[in-house]
Amino acid sequence: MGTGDGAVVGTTKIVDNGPANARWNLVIMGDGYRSTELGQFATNAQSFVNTLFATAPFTALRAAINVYRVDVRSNDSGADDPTACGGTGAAPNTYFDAAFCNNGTRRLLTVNSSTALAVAGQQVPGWHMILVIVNSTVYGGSGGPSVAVFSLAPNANEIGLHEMGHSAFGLADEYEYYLGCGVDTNRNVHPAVEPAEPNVTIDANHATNKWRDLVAPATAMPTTKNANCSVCDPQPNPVGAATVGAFEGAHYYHCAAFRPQYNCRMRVLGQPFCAVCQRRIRQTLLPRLPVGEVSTVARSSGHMDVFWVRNDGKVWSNWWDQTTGMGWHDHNSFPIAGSFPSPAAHDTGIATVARNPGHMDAFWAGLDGKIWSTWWDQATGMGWFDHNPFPIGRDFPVPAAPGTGIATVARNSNHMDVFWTGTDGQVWSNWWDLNQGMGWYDHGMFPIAASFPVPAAPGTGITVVARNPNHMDVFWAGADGKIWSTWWDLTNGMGWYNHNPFPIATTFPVPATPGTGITVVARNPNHMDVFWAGTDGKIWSTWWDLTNGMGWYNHNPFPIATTFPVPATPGTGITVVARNPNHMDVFWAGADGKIWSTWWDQTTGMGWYDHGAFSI
Amino acid sequence: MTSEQHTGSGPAGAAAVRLIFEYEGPDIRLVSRQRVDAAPPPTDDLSETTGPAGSDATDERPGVKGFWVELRDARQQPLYRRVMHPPVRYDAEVFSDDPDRSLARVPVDEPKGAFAVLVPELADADHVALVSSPLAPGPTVAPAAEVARFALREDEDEADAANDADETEEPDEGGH
Ligand SMILES: [Zn+2]
Repeated sequence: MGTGDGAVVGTTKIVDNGPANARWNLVIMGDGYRSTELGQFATNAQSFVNTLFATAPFTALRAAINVYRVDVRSNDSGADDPTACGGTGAAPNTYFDAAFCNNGTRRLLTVNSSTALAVAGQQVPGWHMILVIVNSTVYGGSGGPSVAVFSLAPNANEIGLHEMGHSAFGLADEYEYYLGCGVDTNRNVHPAVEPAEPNVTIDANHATNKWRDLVAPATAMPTTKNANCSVCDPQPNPVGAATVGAFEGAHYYHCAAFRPQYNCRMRVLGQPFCAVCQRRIRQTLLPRLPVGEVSTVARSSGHMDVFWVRNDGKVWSNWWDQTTGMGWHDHNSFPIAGSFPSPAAHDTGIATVARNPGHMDAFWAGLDGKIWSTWWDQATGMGWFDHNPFPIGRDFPVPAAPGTGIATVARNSNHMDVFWTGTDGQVWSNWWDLNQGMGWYDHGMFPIAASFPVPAAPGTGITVVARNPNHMDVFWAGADGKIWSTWWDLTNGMGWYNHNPFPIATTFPVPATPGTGITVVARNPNHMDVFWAGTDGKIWSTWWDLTNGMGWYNHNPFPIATTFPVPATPGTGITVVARNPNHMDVFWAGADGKIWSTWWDQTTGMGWYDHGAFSI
Repeated sequence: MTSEQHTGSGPAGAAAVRLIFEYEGPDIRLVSRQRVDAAPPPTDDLSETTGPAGSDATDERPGVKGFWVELRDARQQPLYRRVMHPPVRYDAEVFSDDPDRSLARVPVDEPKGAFAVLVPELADADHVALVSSPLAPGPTVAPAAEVARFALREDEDEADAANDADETEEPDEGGH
């Protein structure tokens, strides 16, 4: 039995997003596949990969992940299935000794984890997670600390996802029982000791709970209470499925332990991961993404500068010029400062603006929670390397939210306004003016509303437009999945604090996807079009026009194409360009890693639904 | 866009150490320790450590239960910490067709298996510690405390006081 019953045939990198030492590496091995069945194993491994990349938050993080398929042949097919557990009595000779009926439980399907660790270490030394698919259609699986096992039964992929939650991301079980509801007798009240895992807690206090930054101010804490601690709480979910709060019953106990959402894949197979689990997964994988968001700025029609954040904590740039010999490949990309006092956050938004053709300002979030900036000017002695990046405020009363979008606008060539979200769920701003006494440090930064009815969604994009030099409109996604806005006007009584933020539609048929990019364009001073990604993978839009009967609430948001051949990557950035007041081009990232686009033209027969979206 | 963007990799020469443990009941044995070119998961918050004021005892987070791996310097200060789903456990997860109760636990009499951790190779690191709530059957109620400690490099084993752990090595592992 064991490794004498087969051999390692070889390894194929079936998802290649870069070198193993820079990415998160998933290894998929098979057991109970004879050499003639290795084609079937390849299909089964790909099926799991497809499931993984269709699962939030992995869809948006796929560029951080490599997948290696390790082909291992066994002398026999299937897995041991002892009659003691009601099985067939099959006892095939397989490389990893896959067997049902571990510990007397038929569905407990295990393999020799030491062998799995040894093979992974030889084939993919930089592995992060090992999955073993067992060639049997009997439902079963198991979660070892480093190796998860599952069979080919329908939905057995779900076992792999749940066990990855444990093994790769350190997530706890959120279910509120141990052996089963109605079976347990010693699982009434969770001991008064805080679990170390991020997704269960004994603390349901709004002010101190460990995922409080994801809880809306209006959400009750605890959100549900179990009236009878001797049983599993039978009450249905009293709030929205996406509501983050503190739901009593978690971590194997009926009472005194809380889970973040009513449901989660760490509680019930087949459910989406809750927001707290998604955040943990994101935090683990974000540093493995190739680059952060990309920002482009066109200083003139023949010149474009591109900015992005690398995992070295620096902001990098490259540029394109239509002059011969100055294209993308004629020179190398470069970091835009000699040193970065605080590393740029991997998942930061980045905003750039050219106040005039000879000057650029760039903004990003540092790992220290501050918004940083540096600038370039064509004048001698004012290049990128002639000065250091600096935080754009003396004090940050609240740190910038992890993964925040950043927006900036130059209402005139001597003035800049910058916007970002704080960990308090508010949209914050600071501004700079060339005039004496109006620099970054001459005043404090501030939230742009007296109150936010709903906190900004974690990691939301944010966008701003100045329809005229004395007016700004700001847009972001709220934690409720709606797109929110507020505005500022120089006119007396029309400042930030004279009105409240508002959702820009009465109904959103589909919520905005978490971490969506968002973009706005004013094709003319009296018209705005806003674009974002929905949880359905479509790009959505709505618009506002000063004309009577054409306001935000006079029509509904709509997807900008009849069909999307490939869903948008959740968390995609979105760019819109209005080449002229009657034409818009929209760009976003598809789940296939390509840039997709569609367009609208005022000409009859050239609307959103008159042609399809296409990859460029 | 530019090709440079797609080759953006982490810090050059990312170095890490993979430790593989085997366990039987509460006994955890180090069986392999290998330097690998890989990127470990990011650290969890180190500020949650609250040792007695002025002391160097930082191997516990009072009132917290569970399991984590910690990298510390010679003064016992944590340099890296990663919370794990407790790997050594007296139960196993089982799966059912009931769509509302698809997951449950069954007790296991004799925990036995292997697990691996991947930690960064930090210049100041002195040792790696496993911190765990008591490894015992039934509901665990006690906060976590150090259960094992290992040197990061083989040549430091003699000088290192490995605690409860019965540390052995495969002679040809590591290659350095
Ligand atoms: Zn579980």
